[in-house]
Amino acid sequence: MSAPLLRTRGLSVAFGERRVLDSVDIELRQGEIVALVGPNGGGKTTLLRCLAGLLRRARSGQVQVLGRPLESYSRPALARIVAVMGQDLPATAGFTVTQVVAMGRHPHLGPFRMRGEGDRRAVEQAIEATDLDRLRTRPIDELSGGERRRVSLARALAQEPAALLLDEPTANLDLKHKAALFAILRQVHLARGTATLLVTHELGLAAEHAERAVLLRDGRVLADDSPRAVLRGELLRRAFDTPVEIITNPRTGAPHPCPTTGTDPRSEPI
Amino acid sequence: MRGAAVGTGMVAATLAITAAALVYGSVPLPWREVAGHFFGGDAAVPPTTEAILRIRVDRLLLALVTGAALGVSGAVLQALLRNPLADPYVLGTSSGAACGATLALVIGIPFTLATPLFAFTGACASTLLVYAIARSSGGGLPQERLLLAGVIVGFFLGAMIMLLMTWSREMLPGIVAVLMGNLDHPFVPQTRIAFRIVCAAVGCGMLVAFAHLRNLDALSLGDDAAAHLGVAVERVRLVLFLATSLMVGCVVSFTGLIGFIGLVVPHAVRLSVGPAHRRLLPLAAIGGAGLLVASDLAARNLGSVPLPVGVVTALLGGPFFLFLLIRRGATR
Repeated sequence: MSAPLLRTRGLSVAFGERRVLDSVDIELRQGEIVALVGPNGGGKTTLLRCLAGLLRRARSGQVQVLGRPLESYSRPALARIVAVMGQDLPATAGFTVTQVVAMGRHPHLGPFRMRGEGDRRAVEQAIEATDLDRLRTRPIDELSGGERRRVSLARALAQEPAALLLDEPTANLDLKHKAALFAILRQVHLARGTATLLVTHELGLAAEHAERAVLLRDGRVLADDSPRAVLRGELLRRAFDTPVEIITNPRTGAPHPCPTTGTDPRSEPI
Repeated sequence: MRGAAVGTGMVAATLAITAAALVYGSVPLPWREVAGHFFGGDAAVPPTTEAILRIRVDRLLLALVTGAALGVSGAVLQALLRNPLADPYVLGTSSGAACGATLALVIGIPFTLATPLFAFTGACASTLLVYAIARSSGGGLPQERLLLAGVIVGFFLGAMIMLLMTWSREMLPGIVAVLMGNLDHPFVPQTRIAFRIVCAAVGCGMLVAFAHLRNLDALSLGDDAAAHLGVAVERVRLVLFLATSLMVGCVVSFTGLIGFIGLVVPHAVRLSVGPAHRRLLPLAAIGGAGLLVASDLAARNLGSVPLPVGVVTALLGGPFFLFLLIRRGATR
C-alpha cells in the first residue's frame, strides 16, 4: 500500500506555555473524506494549519506528505498537493470573484508563465461547481459571508489538489448551500479522487458524508474510526461535556447527535 | 479592455507632460527648436537652446525615474502591508533614506556613491524597524500599530536630521534641499555616473517587484491565504521590503524627500483598473513618472520663484491622504 497523502507522527504544538496539540497521530489516505470534529479550542484548526505547512516553528513531531517530510517540499510544490479553504477571505481586497478563483492556479504557474487552456478549464470548473457563475465579475467585498465562503472553496478547487483541507466550510452557509457543499465534495471526490479533511461542527452532515471521523479534544485524539463508531452518545458527552442524544436518519442510518440540555427532560428522542 | 485604455491614456498624458516640461520653464523655448533638437529637421537650433535642453533633459530623466520608483514602491508596500494608506513616506522608509543621505552629507565622505549607499541603508533599517515594531504585539500585522510605528519612527528620524543640522550649520543648504525634495541636481560627470548606477539599482528593484506580481496578488488576500497558494510569505516580504528600500533609498539620495507620489498614484490607479498587480504595477510606474514631471513643471512655473517639487507634491498629497482617511472611515 502506498504512503498516505498526509500523516502526522507525534505532532505537538505549543504557543508559549499553552499546549494546543499533544502528540497527534492521524492519516489522510488517497480519496477518503475525513471529518475532524470536537469542541471549540480542541486544536482542530491548529492541526489543519500544521497539515497545510504553517506553524513550522511552533510545532514538534512530524508531518509527512506522500511519505516524505513536509519540510522537503517547496511552498509551491506543497500547494500543488494540498489546498486549503480557510475560515475567512478578507472583504477589503477589491479583487473580482474570477480573479480570486484564478489565484488558485498560482502554484502551477510560477511567477511568469501565462495561463494555459488547462488553467482556464480548472477555473471554469471550480466556478461552475460552486454556483458562482452569476457573481464572476463582482468584487469580493460586495459579497455576503456565505458567497465569500464559496469563492474560497472555488479557489481551493482550482488548485486541483490531491488533498483538500477545509476549515468549517459550512459556517455562514444556508441550508441549500450546505447541502450543495457536501455534494461538491462528493463530486470532486468521485471525479478526481480528491482526499478531503474537513473541520466541522455539523456532526450529522459529517456522519452522512464522511468515511471516517476524528474526535479531537484538548489537543488529543479521543477517537478515530467510522462516523458510527465515533459519534456515539457516551463518547460525545465526554468530549463536549454536555448531554447528547443520537437521532438516526431513517433513510441512511447515519447518526445525528443533538444536545439535550434545555429541552424538555420528558420528551423522548424521535 | 479597461486596463489597456487607461494604460494608453496614461502613457499619452505622460508623453504630453514630458514634452511640455521640455518647452516650458524659466525660459520658454519654441516648440520647433525643441523638436529640431530631438528629431532633426530644418529649424536651426541655437546653442543656448541646446544648453538649456541638456539641463532640462537631465532633470526630466531624474523626475521620470524618481516618480516611477515611488509609484511602484507605494503599490508594493500597500500590498505587502495590506494597507491602502501605506507608502514610503508614511512608513518611515523615506525618512530613513533622508536621514542616511544627511549623515553622508555631514560626514562628507569623498565617494560618489556614499549618499545612495547611506540612503539605502537608512531606508532598509527604518522600514524593518517599523515592521518589527508593528509585529511585536504578536500574530498578524495590526494596521493601526503599523501606521503609528511609521509616524513615530518618522518623527524620531526627523529629530535626528535636526540634530545633524544643528551640528553642522555649514551643510544647512544641502540638508534643507534633502528635506524639501527637489530635482535641482547639478549634473557634473561624477554625479552622472552615480545617476546611472542609481537608475540601474531602481531597475533591479523594479525587476524584483515585477517578478512577484502573482505573489503580491496572493498576499493581498492575507498571509495564510498566500501561504496556501504557495507563497513563502516571510521570505517574499523581506525581499520586497529590500527592493522598495533600494528604490526609495536611491532616488531619495538624489532628490530628497518627495512625498505622497507613492500614496496617491497607486490609489488612483487601483480605483480605475482594480487591484490586480499585473496592471497596477506598470501603471503605477507610468503614473508616478507622469505626476512627478507634472508637479515639477508646476513647481518651476507657477510661482515667481521656482518651488521645491516636494512642496508641491505634499500640498497635493496631504489633502488627498485626508480624503482617503475620511472615506475609509465612512465605509467601515
